Order: sequence, then C-alpha cells, then structure tokens
Amino acid sequence: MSDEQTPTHLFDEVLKQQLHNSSTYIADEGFSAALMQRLPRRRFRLGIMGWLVVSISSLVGAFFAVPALLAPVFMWAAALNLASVVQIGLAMAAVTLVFVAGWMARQLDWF
Amino acid sequence: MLVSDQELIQRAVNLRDQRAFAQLVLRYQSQLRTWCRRLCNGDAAQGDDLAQEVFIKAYGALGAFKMEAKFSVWLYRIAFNAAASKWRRKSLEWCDLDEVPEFNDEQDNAGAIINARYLNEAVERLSEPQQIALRLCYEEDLSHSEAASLMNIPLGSLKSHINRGKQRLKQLLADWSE
Repeated sequence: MSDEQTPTHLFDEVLKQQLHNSSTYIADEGFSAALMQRLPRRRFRLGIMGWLVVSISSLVGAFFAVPALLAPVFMWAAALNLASVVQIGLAMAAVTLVFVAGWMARQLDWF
Repeated sequence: MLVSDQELIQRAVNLRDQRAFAQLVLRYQSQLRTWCRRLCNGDAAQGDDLAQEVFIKAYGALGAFKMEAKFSVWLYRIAFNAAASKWRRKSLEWCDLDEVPEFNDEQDNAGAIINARYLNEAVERLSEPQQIALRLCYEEDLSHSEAASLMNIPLGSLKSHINRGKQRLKQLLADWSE
C-alpha cells in the first residue's frame, strides 16, 4: 500500500477539506467603519519637498511682509459692492477656494 | 482588478493612506474575527473587541511588517500575543501537553472518515491548544514551524498537540459511528 492510500493520509485529507469548508464568512456589519473611527490619526510629517516649499514661502512672506500682502485683500473686501453680481461671484469663489483648500488639507491629515 | 495586499500595505505606510488600510480590514475582518472568537472561547463580542485591538496594533506597526510573510498570519500572531498577554498563563499552559489516553492504531479505520460530517463538533471537543494547532496547520495551511512560532511553543510540542488532537478526533468519530 502506498503512503498516499494509508488511512492516516486519507484522514488528514478529510480533516483539511472539512476544516477548510467549515469556516463561515462573518459579515462586516459596521465592524470596519467602527474600527476606522478608532484608528489614531497620523500626523503630517513634512518631507524634503514640504520643507522646501515652507522655506521658500516663508522667505517670500518675510520679503513682502505679511500686512502688505493682506492689506489689498482687506481693502478689496471693505470696498466690496454688494450690488455687483460679478464682485459677489468673485467673493463666493474665493470663499469656496478657501473651503476646498481646508477640506483637502483635512483629507491629507495636515491638521 | 484586485489590488494586492503588498500594494495596499505600501500605500498605507508610505502615503499614510487610511483608505488602503480600510481595504485590508475589509479583506481580512472575517478571517481575523473568526480567529479571535476562537481565542476567546467562542465569545463573539470579546472576539470582535480583540480583533479591533489587533487591527489597531497592526496599523501602528504596519511599517515593520515583512512582506515575505502572509498578512493574515501576521495578524494571527498579533492576536495570539494580545490574547496571551490578557490571559498571562495561557502561553505557559499551551506548552504543557494534554494528557489524553493513547489511541490504538487499529481503530484508525475508515469509519472515522465516513463520519467526517461530525468533524467540527469533534474538533470543538479538543483542548484549546489542540484545536488551534490543528486549525493553523489544516485550515490555514501553515507549516508546523510557522504554527509553532505563532503559538510560541517548541516545534515538538506543536507536533504532539497535532498528533494527540488527531488521535482524539479519530477516537471521537469512531465512538460516534458505533
């Protein structure tokens, strides 16, 4: 009798087959969603490119001075003509851009 | 096209992509929860809590995962260690071999095979280390050395658990067939 025909081998085969077939699938039922809520948020770490961008931006900011950059924006907002459809549209587009940037930063775990 | 585990792990590690990890969770939740429930003596709630803990630990240590191993086996190992640390004595207990009466080889007959439909019930009657050892090697297709390493027991003990488990199974199935 060859080794493949021994009762022990047959038993092993049946055991393997039965155990394989016995494992039932457990439906997710919110398990994964609950788990993802519990995962620690990963902090954003700046890579080499990130540090480069931040450094250049800081240099530009320092060169022009932040108030000087913000002043025209403030003046424009103060002088906004609410009757002008074009200006209202521009203001809404600006606000939308800020929200989109914030949403993207959130998606990238920047804060 | 199905994205490989390796690719999802790389995305989760390199790009901090939680959605890639979520894919892995969806892929392995059933297997891991089944395994954790077994480690918790069939308690579904406790098993699911353990599975959540395992996934969270795996997420934190994902960068240390070596791609040559199966991701499922890595999860099982974390689950086993978490369970063992909860029930401290468990790992020690599992090294001790269970006392089972020696089985007469002549009883190793076809009757035992015919009654394979009762196999699951019989497996549940085995001691915990025997069940785990048999399931790892026969259900999960791990090698003896992989299973021994996962259970933190010597290879010889693992083989003894398997042999004794199989003997006990044959005995139970033969008794039920009478």
